[in-house]
Amino acid sequence: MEKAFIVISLCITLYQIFFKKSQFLNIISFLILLTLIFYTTIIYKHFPVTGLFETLSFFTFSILGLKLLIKEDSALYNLSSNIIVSILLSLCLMASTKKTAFTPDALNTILFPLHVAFSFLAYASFTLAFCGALSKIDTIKIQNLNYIGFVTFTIGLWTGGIWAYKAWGAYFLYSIKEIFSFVIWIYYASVIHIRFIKNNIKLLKISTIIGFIIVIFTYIGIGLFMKNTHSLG
Amino acid sequence: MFKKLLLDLRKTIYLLFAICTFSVIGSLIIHFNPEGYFKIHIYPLFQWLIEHPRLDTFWIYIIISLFLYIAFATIFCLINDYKRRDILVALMHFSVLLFLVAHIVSALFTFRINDQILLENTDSKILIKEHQKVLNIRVKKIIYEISQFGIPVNIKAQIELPNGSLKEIMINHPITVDRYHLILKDLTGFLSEIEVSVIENKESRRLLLKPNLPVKFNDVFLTLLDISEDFSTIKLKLEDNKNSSIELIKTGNHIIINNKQFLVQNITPKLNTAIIVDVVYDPSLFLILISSSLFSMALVIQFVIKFKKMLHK
Repeated sequence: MEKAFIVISLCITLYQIFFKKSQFLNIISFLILLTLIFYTTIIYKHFPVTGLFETLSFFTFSILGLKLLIKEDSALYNLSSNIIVSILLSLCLMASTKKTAFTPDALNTILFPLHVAFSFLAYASFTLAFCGALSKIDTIKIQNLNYIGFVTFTIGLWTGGIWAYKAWGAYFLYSIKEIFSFVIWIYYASVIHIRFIKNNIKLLKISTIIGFIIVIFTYIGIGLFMKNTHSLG
Repeated sequence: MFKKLLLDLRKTIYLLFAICTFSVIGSLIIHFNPEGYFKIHIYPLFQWLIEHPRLDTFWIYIIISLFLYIAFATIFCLINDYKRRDILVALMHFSVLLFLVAHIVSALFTFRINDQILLENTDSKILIKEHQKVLNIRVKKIIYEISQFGIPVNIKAQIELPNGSLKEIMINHPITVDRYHLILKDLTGFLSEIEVSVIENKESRRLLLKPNLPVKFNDVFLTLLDISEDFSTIKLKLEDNKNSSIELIKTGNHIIINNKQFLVQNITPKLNTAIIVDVVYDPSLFLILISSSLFSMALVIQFVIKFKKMLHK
């Protein structure tokens, strides 16, 4: 059932890539994923941000939401963001929707959905900044997207840190995911300082592209292929 | 000259990128050599570094040195923010400095102990070697539910503190005892004793065996050495004045003790429920919480102020 939402959303995105981009279709796609989130929340009685399928759909949902919020007409920006959305939705289709329905005690806290939701909002923002860096959009917009990402990522880390201390007795356990999250934070803290440097366009674009690679590696690479406290299974 | 260098934003940004690079190197070293970094978060970092003088920790020293430079650069930025009356940015830079100070405190003093507190112990003692101290606490009650998957959930324990007061500990809800935080990690069971029922000439007899504690039965000392995971087989040491032997006992089998044959009717383990807790001493916690909250708050306020402007652009 969940995959039907993804298929419709994927078809809409593919239509936009090959035929015609449309804000209206973006809204439809966004609403479909929003319905999926409500549906899974009601069915499983928890905010759907556990496992690969749920996080991928939430990640895509965040990208579409931010795209609607920060309007941009650049063709390359829209094309690249639609390609990324379609890749994420395709991965979503490959991921299993099976759930154990068992929620460990440690996940029964408001800090968990806050931590994950803010982190993925940040990832979405960094992704759109990357799309902006590939195209010829105003650099202020790229800076703003990086800035939104940094703010939301900071909130994500803050909530995650408090939660980790309460659950594990340490907000930092030197696991690869935690170190990479620290890397992302430090990295984007420096990226948002680039706006104070003169002739910064090239540096900003290159660092935004590298930042996105780090983000994707942290999410997909480490989450899937390296066993750690944040493994996606 | 030095001030000019510290205020050079481009260089500072490159140094932050360098911190990222060394952190990535470090994360890969830790990931592929977890044994080498097994206790890094248990000891204070500086103590761990002294006790582990290895080449593959070079990245930690480099990151610490780079952060020292960043700290000085942040102080100069803070002075500039103050001159420009840029309160929010000043607050953020100040919290970064506070955060770094907190981590020096943490690297000097923070440690954690993994212990297991038994329910049936009248007085559980947690030895804190670092402070040559003993925490006397008593687990009064352990409450839990078993989920449909057979996993204990909603674990709660009532703990009596040294001063006689009662506190409830839960997962995600640590408690403070003295200067230490007790964090509930899990529930576990301990084998306290095994009851073995044996039959001799239609007469049933009961044996209570405790691990490594000899019990006299039919003039022979029996010591429980081991038990299989499914509790179906136990390993016993049989000793009298002359001989000593090791026997494996299974339900339904016969065992000869002092020339008498017994039929093993039942093996019943008795388990004690216990909670697994971590004991954490972290004097930097308050500073870390204050600095990170201050930073997040200033950042969010600045973001809200700029948000409308940002959307229009």
